[in-house]
Amino acid sequence: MKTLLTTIFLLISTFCFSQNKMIDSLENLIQNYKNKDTTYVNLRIKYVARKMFLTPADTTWTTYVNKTLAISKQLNYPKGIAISYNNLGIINHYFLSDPLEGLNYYQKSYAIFEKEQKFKKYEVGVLTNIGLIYYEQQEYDKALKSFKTLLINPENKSKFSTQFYIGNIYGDQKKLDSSIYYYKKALVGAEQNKHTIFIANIKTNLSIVQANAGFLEDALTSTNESLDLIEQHNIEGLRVTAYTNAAEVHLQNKNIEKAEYYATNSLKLNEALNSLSTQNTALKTLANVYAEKGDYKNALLTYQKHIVLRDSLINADRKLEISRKEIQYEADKHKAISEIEIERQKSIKNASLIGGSGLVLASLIGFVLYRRKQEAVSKSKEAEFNAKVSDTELKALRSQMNPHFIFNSLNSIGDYILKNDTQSASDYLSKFAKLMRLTLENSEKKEILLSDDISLLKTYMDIERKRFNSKFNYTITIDPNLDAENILVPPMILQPFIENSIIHGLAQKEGVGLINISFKTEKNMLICSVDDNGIGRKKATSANNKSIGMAITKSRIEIINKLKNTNGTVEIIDKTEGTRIDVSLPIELAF
Amino acid sequence: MIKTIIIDDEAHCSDRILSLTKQHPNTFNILAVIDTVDDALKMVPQLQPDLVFLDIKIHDKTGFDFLQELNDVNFKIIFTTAFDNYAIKAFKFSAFDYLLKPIDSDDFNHAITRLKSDLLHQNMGQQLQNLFKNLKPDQKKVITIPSLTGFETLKVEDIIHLEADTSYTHIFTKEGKSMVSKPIKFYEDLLGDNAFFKTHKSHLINIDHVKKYYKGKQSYVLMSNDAQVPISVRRKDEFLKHFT
Repeated sequence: MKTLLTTIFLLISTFCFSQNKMIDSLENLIQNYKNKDTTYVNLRIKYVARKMFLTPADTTWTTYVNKTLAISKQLNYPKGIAISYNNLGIINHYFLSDPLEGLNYYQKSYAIFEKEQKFKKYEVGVLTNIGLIYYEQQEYDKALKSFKTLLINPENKSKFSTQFYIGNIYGDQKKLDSSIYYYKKALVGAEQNKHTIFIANIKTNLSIVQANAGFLEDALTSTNESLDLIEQHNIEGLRVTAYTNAAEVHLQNKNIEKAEYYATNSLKLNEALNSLSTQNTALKTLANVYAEKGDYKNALLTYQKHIVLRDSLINADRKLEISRKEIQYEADKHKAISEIEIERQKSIKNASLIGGSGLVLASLIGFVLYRRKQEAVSKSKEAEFNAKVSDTELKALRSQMNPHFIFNSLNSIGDYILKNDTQSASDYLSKFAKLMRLTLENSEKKEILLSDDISLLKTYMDIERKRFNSKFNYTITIDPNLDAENILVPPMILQPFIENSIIHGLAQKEGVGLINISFKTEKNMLICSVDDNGIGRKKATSANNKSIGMAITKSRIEIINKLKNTNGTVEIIDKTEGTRIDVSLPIELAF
Repeated sequence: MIKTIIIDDEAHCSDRILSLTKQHPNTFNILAVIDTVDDALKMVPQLQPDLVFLDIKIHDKTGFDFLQELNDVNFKIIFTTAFDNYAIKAFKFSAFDYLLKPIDSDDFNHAITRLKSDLLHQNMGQQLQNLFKNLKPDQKKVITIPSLTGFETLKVEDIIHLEADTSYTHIFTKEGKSMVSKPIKFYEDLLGDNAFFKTHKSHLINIDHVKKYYKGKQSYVLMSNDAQVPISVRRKDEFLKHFT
């Protein structure tokens, strides 16, 4: 069972009682005021504060305050806007009994006041109203939060009232010690301010809490003091509650007579007020009084009345529950909506962040790729250029072979003619022409088949053999692992070495010489050897053997190495009898 | 004895041929040495030679002019020329023998050996027509291949692919296949300028007859006659260049 704690509203949220005269003069002032400025707004606010509580049934208050609000908004006057919201909150809260809407307005108002330090004093009223709504809705934690914020507000001139409300909350929560503590603090403040009504109210509430806490004597003192004040000052708004509480306190003190007196009077007085909860509490106390007295019939009757009332009160509680749920729902909805909004803003922010960084990243990658491609292009261009240069160099070298070869051959023909051997000269000439044709044809090519090169070498050696009167024989051996039809070689690469062997090695040798030409593979290289049994290089050096052909061939191999990134070599081996040349070339397959 | 006529406007060239024939005793009966196309047109039909050594440039005329004006060519011809790539190609296409000046005795001997074994086939009509065709720059080329009965003519564009078989070559057309006793290299040299590509050591294909290409480690092409021809690894890149 809820403890009956009462609050009489002392126009908490507004400012003071007024005299009719003052209100009338205000009314005149407003009517004669021509400008719609902040002064006008302030006058209207003052008027509402003075008159609204005097005529709560007047339904035009909403319209009036809304007009003030609209003007304030036009003027962009935050104080006017916020006070108007607060007043709309009061209208909805108290006059229209719509706590949900009321809370809404209070919060709008508080949101504006909260922003600026200069509005601290206005915060007091609106925060009190918010606290009270939460208290009524039994949202005690929220209510406590509001009131405790108020306790530290320096502009709060009536901290005792705040302490009183906190006492009420703790009382309802059955935190009786805390409740008593705050009531006592509130009492000190109220007595300092000589606020009689408040003192009476505090004492009435304190008495029932003290009774419930088991401090029966203290409770009795409090209740008597409160009743004295009510009698002295005719505080009618408090009387019913005070009587109800007094009945309960006396009942607990086993003073049945007094308990019955106060309970009965409470019920009598309540007929005019028709406060259900007060009536309910009074009935219950009275039923207990009758029971104590042994008047079981009346006890039962009263108790039945109490039960009926309780049930309807439970229904009222249920309504309260519903409205509380509604408030909770609205708050949740707002919270959810704002969370969604925050989330949306966040995701927009994130999306733009991701998009932005993605764009930056993409352009960065693009730039890097572009640079890389540029580099690759310039590299491949450079490589292409180098290849072209090398190709040209090779071609130049190959074409140098021809005149060199031509003049050697022309020398031979001249030799025949001198010897008057016309037939041989003619034969030689036609052979030479054939070789010339082949060389011209092949020197156009970078690479030819090994078999083609061998037949070219054969033609060459046949001619030379003829020229030197068969002073030498030759053999050509091909490693059976090698497919001469499928290996590519630079044309005539061996020719200068063979020429060297013939002219410098064998021509000066006594007797018939021999040239062995062989092709084999070794470690993925093609080894082409020219092996003669001539007089050897040492003896030959005396003769003028600065071979242009040899030099050209070496350059050719170097360029091929550069072009193909290989390591072809030319090796000259001096044997005891004769010389061997090993030319190693990378194996290049045609198919 | 081979009844022989030499047609050449330069004395030292005809002298060279004469001296070369002298190296083959009891083989040649030299009927005449002629130095103009007009004289040749008069004398050749009268003399009825078995063989004519025919120079290409004869004053302001050519050996081809002579052949075209002659009604009936029933003798063997060996062309002699110094350096004329274009004509040489036409000879090869039409399976005519030719000697390059100054004439090498070995080449001469080879030509004579071939001639002796082939002297019976006297009808030159078809072969000459092919030659004239091949000499015209814009004409679609034909190749003349020796057959058991004489010669066979194949349009180059009809050749699908060629395959080496030791020193022989199989030539595939949509009509079937022919075998020639020439190495594939001969055709590679002959046809290489056209749409032909050597995909493999023993395969020469006509690019225009490629139907499908199958890539992979062992890539190959499917030809218009549904023959599969392998492409060797080293020829792949070069091959694909023809299709980009």
